[in-house]
Amino acid sequence: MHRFRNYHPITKLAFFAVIFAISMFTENPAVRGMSLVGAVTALAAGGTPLKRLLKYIGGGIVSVLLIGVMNCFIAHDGKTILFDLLRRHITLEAFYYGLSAGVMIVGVAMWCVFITDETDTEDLVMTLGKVLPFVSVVITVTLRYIPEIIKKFRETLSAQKMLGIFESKGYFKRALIISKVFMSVTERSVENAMDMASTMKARGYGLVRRASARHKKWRESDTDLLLVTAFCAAFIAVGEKTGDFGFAYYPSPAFVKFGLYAIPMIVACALLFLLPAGQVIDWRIRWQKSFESKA
Amino acid sequence: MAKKLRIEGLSYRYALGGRNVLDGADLDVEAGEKILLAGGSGSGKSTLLKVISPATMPRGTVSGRVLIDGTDVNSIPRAEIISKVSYVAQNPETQIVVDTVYGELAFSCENTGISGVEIRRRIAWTATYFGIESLLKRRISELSGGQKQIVSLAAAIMLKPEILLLDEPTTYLDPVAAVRFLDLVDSINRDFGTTVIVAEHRISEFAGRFDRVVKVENGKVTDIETDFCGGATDVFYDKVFSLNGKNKNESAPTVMVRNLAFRYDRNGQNVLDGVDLLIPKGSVFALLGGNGCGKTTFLRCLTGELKPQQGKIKIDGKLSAMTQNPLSMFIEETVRKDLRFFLKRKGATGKEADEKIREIAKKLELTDSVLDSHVLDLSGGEVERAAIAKLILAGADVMLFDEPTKGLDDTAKKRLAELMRTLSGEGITSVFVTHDINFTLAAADCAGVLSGGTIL
Repeated sequence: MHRFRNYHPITKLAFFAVIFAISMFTENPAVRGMSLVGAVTALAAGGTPLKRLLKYIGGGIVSVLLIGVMNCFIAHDGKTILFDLLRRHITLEAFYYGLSAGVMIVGVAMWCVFITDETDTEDLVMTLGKVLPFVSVVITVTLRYIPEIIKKFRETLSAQKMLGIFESKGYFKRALIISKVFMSVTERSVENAMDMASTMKARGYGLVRRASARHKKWRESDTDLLLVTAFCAAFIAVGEKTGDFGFAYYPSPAFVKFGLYAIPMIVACALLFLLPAGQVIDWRIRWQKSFESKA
Repeated sequence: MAKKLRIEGLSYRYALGGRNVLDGADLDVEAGEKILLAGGSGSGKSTLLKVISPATMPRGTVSGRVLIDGTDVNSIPRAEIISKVSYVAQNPETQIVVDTVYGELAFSCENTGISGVEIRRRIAWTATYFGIESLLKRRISELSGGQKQIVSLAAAIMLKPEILLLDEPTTYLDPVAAVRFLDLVDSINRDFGTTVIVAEHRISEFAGRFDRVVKVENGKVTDIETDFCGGATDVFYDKVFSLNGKNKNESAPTVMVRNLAFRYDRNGQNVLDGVDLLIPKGSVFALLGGNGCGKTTFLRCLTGELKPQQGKIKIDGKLSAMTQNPLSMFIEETVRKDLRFFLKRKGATGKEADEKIREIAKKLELTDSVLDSHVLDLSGGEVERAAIAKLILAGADVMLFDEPTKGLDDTAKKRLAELMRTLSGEGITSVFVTHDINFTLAAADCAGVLSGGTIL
């Protein structure tokens, strides 16, 4: 086993596609909860600094509660009426449904953070480079210029602050200056983009169909992970189809059915969601051991 | 025997230009020759380099011929000319296209359809040759200016060019990085027999490295004597320290720094570690030091942008700062519009603003053409003077400059040094950080070197 980021981009693409599909299209709160726990443990095992992780968790809890409360004003089904507002029932079940949806959204967001940590643009370019070379160039060029534009914006704003231009009070005046900073940075960026277009042309862009220098070997571990992913996905799909692990929020939250496929489905979900964290922990242990053996 | 490169009666005028930048230029270059292309700002050095290859030629009217190995460049297929002639621009920011070092090295080869296996081999070889293996996986935005310029050069070499054209490649480099970069160019010329033409305005420092020095003047190219060759980049600080003995200014300090300490991370090391500094009113103070020693950090502490963990900073009067990129000082299209907007924000009426602009333009020799040109069309020296005008209009008593000579030619540097001296006479204190020792000697009356977190 090795660290998750070392997998082939296509393997990672397939794995995360399944993770997202399960997290987003399964309504069972247990599955959604497992997805969230899996994402958090993956981030923790992946070496996310504790302060950052706590910030994510804190933000996540607030978001879940907020979505829960907001859903009460959107959905009015459910038998436990908390109170009435504008002749509409505010129900406990709607709050639960909102919480569950919040857990799903925060879970998916955390997986996105993990993906960002475990993949880079090279993965994207490698996946697209051979199929859509134009798109891969657009992505890499964009990724090159976004940090530059942000840097220019901060630099220009800071220069204006130093000149004391923000001393004048009033939101409108401040907004006017910020919009001028934005316009000037955009103009400079367009100028740079034109220079870059000339450079690209001078360096042969558009001459012939582009080749791709990126190459990553397909390893046995890629096949293994794809098989595990496919196996688990199949179990979960069958479980969903039969409704053996079905859950309903209205009129009151309860399992609709706890059938034959429920246990295998839970095991498959747990395996998939905890796999990235497990991989990273295993990689760390092996890494540590390699140092100990040398000592 | 045919020359590697022959330029015959080459004339060139930009699409929107009113005059010929090149006017019947002739130049013969032998295979494997290394030529320094000299000339002042706007003399046409960069244009000459760009019009050699149709791939880099900007829009304009051209007459005359450019021959490579006896063949007119216009009859050479584009893919072939791109492989034969590589051009490295002055500013690596405009040269580098993609976001990672690996992608940048691969870019030209991918465009010309070289197989993936061959590109990977070339990247491995190039990275070893240039000593940049550790940078391969890095993002371009994480690299220093010197590293970016080396990556640009490495990317240019990936196509194994026969002719390498470098447009003022050391402009954005400190003296040590510039020497290292030119050492690499020497190696390429020596090891592969690549013909090299370098446009450069620092002739006295680098001419000794070249086989021949030619000058672009009035649109023509002429050979010039190189009896001044052999001058080395002045990387020693002895002369700088001697400045402090000359400074007899006894007035009260306008900048006072006591026991200043700053670190970026709680568990990291102090970048500034007990800095003490007194700068008298009306002085021009230069702060020198190696790359990453904390010079810019020190300036950012003075401006209040960074909060030091320890120490005291006292500044007598209003402080304004110019960043490494003076363009960031402007948010309007032209200098005049920008200064007018700025003054009106500060409470001046339209008439008062115009009067102040007239006064400052006269003082800093900003012509109407400079005031009314788009800021992106101004030269480096003109932008700097316009930025200084804005600092003065902001009522600055103390002006901070971060690497003010970056991208300036010798004439512009001289004018900037004179301007700082003039402002000094009017009681305005200038503090600048730089690598440029010659500029320091011309402009400053006191100086310090930041080393080990303290100013010596």
